Amino acid sequence: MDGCNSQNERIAQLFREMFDVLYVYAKNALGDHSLAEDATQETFCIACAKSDECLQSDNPKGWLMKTLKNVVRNTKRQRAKLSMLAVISLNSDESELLATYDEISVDALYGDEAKKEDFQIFKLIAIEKHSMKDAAEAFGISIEACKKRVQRIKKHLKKKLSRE
Amino acid sequence: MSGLDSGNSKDYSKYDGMSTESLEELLRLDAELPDGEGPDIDEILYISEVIAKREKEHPTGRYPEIDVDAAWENFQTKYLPYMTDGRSLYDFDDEEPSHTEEENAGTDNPSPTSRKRISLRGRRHLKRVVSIAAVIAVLLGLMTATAYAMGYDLWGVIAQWTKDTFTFVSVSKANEPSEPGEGDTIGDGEYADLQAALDAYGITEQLAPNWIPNGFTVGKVVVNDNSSPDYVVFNTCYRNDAKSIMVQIKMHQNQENTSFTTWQKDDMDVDTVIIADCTFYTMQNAGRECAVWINGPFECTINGNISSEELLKIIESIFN
Repeated sequence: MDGCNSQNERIAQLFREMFDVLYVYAKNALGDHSLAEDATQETFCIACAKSDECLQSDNPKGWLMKTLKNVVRNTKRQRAKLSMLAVISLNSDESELLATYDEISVDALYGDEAKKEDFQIFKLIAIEKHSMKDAAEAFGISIEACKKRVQRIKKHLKKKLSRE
Repeated sequence: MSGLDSGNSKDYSKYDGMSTESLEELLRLDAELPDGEGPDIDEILYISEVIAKREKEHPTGRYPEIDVDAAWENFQTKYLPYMTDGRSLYDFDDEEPSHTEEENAGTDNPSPTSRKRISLRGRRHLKRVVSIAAVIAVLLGLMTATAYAMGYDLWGVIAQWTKDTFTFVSVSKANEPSEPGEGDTIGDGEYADLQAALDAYGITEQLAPNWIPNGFTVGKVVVNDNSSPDYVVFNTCYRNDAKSIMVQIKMHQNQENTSFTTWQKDDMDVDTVIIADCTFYTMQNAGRECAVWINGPFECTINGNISSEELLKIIESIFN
């Protein structure tokens, strides 16, 4: 497991012991299976990145839960911000075009096919409330690529809206 | 039960006898509370473990069967590689990578980067805070005599907000960094609703709403009265499928050591509504409508995924 080196075994052990417990919290906090899986997995990514801090704490399981709670909080905030941008976009002067982009080409709005697909990913996550993993799988791309494409379209939309 | 390895000797066995639905409600409530306002971490771990264990033994269908091997495979192939960008999975901001909130998990101090960010924001919003404080000082003059009767000097409290947070601040502490409380525990007690809990504590002030939008039903009322001698916290949550309305009343009991809650908010201005001489500060957080107010020693908030009109009707109903 890249990035975790010598502490792999302990992290792996914690993963096996704690995944379902953390998932239970995330599922209740976020109300969705896929989002809960995203949050639980991200918690272990952070544990790998900060393995010293996690494993040397008095209470590694408590450390994981505290981290998960922060991940949940961040997830809620960031997704709410994204949804707000989507709502503002749909309320913009070009809302009709945005709202019906499936029926008529969005090229007029976004210029090229890449942006069209970016917008579809953005819509999947911001409006249809899919998790990052689900959206990435739907488009056959990695989670990292999915995130970058959402960042790109978000930047584009913000720039576009600021010009209106 | 529990493989808690913190050396925590607290007895959480009371949760063994609670229904799974009640335990889930506690987790949902905890997730709605600001950092430091809920049960302690070991308590939350214990509750989650109880639910996970029950689900393994008697699956309810509310949770998918967890295949840990598949989850581990996903972790290694789909999630772990993304961490190379050093940012949260749902952090879509355009700024350069920086320390995010969850990266600081497990530590109590903000990173140097976040300190710098706060400093920059602070300068940007200083003018706004100063002008708001002046307006609030006038508004506070309208507040009820009840507070004075209880010995609370409302002139000594101002509302402050920045781009991301809202809090009340004692004037004498206005320049100190805030330190949200930690390690709260949930007290025992079953109450039919929030008003019943307030009545049980002999509270006669009008604090609980008398109207909630149609379709919402009251959930568990949680009274947290044994974690600090300085305050008692009353929480309740109303639910309508995926929607929720949370009401929290924090009764401060020590004027000398008042710890006000710091509420997260979206980057938009705070509005004020005055009803029955009480000033309600309204804002949004994570898309949820929020109202925060002080009535004497009571620091109160209502938030929910409801419309601003519904929020207004709820706070109006407090005095009906």
